[in-house]
Amino acid sequence: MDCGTCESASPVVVETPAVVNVELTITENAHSMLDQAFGDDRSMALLVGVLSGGCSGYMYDLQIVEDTEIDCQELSISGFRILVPNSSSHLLNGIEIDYEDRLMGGGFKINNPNAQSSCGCGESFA
Amino acid sequence: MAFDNAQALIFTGSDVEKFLDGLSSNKVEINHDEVIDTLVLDNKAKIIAQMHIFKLNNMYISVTIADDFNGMIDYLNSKVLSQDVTISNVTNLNHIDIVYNEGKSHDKMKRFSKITQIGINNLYTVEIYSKQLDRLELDGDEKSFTEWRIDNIIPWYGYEISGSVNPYQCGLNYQVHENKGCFTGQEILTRMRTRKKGIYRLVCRANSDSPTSIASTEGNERSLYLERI
Repeated sequence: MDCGTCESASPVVVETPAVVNVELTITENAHSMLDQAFGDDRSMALLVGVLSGGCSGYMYDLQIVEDTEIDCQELSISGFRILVPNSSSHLLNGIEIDYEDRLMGGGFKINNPNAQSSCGCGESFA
Repeated sequence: MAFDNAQALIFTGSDVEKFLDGLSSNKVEINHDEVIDTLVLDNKAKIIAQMHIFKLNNMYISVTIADDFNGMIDYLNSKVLSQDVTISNVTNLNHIDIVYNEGKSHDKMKRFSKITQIGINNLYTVEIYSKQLDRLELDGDEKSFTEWRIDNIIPWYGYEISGSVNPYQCGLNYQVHENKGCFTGQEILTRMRTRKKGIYRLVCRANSDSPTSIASTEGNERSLYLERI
């Protein structure tokens, strides 16, 4: 493992899933929470992404960002800028962003028709 | 002994440690010269791959054993998404050998000339070196390795370990970190642990004491058995 060839070895070739034009919806509860979070400044965006990991293999990742270097598609929904990474678009098309107001386990929830299963806390899906 | 069913993978990119940690049953925080033994599981906690990960320069290298190697690569790649992670397979560029039964300390990653040695669970060593070098003289064959493995109670692919079992069913309990938080398959393993159900341990018994027909690995005088706790 010191021949100098390993570092230049070509990456494993994989077929990446096709980019999908994402459609998503936001519930009234989520809308009012985003209203509170963004205030009047609608220049910020909600980045809705997916990371690997969690109990089921994928984890949702919600961030409020000004911009991102990730290759994203930008949606405008109810006056909010929503960014969805193209690499995760096949996993996020058709989702509904909801907000559950509960003392335990509350917060933003994603209802995802693409998920075959999800873990107990709802943050992870397969 | 030649380790022909092991693959050498290189992971590069700024998100590699986070990526591997999210998919691993063990905590992947690799310090200098350290080797992390971990498992990649599916969401039913079945074993997709066993990985021994170490860091060399800016690369994370994994000696990887999997039932279905191409399926495992597809699985890993499907999880990369927008993370900065690139996976290269350098198996064809390297010899991978197992060194065992030599009374060495096997706990860390070491480099000797052009050979990289990694210690696995303080029991044996895996040597990785370029195929530009002649293969080192190999002692032992699968039979003698199996006898040694029985004496040291080490589970192995094709015997105890397969893609149809989870770590608690094949004696790899020590590769599951109980407090690291979410990883794929974690909910099922935690449930098994808290309910104390379906957990096995690997034990060594004399052939005269137990029928070898139920042994997971059969040896000349002693064999390995998976025994429900």
